[in-house]
Amino acid sequence: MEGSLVQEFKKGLWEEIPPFRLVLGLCPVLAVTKAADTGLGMGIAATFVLVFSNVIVSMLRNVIPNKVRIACYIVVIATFVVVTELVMQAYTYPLYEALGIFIPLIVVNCIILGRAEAFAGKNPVLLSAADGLGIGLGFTLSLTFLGSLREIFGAGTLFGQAVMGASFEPFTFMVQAPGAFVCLGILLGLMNIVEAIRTR
Amino acid sequence: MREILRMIVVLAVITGVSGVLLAGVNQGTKDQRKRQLLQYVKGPAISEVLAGSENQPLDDVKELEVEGAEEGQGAVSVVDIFPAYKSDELWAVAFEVTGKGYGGDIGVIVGIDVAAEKLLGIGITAHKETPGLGARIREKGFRSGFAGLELGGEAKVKADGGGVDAVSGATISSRGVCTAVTEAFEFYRENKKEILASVADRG
Repeated sequence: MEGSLVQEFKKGLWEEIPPFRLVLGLCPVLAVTKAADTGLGMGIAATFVLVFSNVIVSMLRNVIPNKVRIACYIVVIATFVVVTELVMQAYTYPLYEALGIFIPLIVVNCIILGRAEAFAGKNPVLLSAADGLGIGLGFTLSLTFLGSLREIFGAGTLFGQAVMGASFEPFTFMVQAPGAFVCLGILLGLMNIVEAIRTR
Repeated sequence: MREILRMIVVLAVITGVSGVLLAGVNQGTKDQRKRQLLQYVKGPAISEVLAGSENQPLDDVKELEVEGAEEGQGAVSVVDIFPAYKSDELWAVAFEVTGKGYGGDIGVIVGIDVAAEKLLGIGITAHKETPGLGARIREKGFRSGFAGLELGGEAKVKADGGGVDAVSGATISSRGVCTAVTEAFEFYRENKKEILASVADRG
């Protein structure tokens, strides 16, 4: 039991790290990673929703009739998303403004519904929590990493602090939409190379 | 039949519980959200409209109860009045009114010079207008058209015979702001005594 808990948690960090391995939920990944802090904020918000929706879905897995399970999952997920939205609006307003429409869109984020359907609907509560936390943390790390990369090259800053020196000419392409695709593509390729070397 | 009943009951219970939870969170964060909105959205707009005041209009806000001020005749509504002082004299007041835009309500902050009875300027707070089109009502080019309007008159876009340059392609949004400003004028004229009395003494 203990071993599998750790295993379920760890798989989200590499084997099934959401944007790179599962290649799921790319809409917010591309949109909010203009800077490291928005990426981190989005990741934390999604992790919160993912962990709690996984726990609730797992608790209710024997109660929810199979035919209406998706509707039930969506209601559970939407509830936590609105809670997140209200709390962010109340305590971190600038971040709420920066993330804008992508907070409510967590409801239809396929990672979260995907975990509810593929994992939490079939597994006990603790395992589902570990799964949610692992995948959520993987998602957060990916978004923060991608955001940092784009911010460093695109604006010469990291979390708003200048890191590249005064002579650095920002490569604005990186903080625009095409930069997101290019950056994500390169990272995906790199991860595939690393994985190929690891498993050889 | 049993199965259908079960589906309905489970879904209804989940939805009900979630509704109660959300109502609770909504209620619990209400004041804090209002404060944040004041600080990050209304605050900058009010500071801009009342630029030059020697106090902090946001801190000196007074609540004024007005009968049937807006919709719902006869109902009592509370309007926040933001006063601005210059050399210890009341110089201007600002408050928020709502207009109907293309995508929903538009929140408009109006700043009124008390002595000259003129509009100092307006600021846009909440709106749901089309980005790049109606949302341009936030831009200074449009908003500056309101500065200096007489309180006795109305705010109108040029197409309607007024003096305000509408945002091109966004007549409905521009008219919405004008209506809101005109309503603000009416509100100020009707409640001038109460407004001035509510902010007469500092502190």
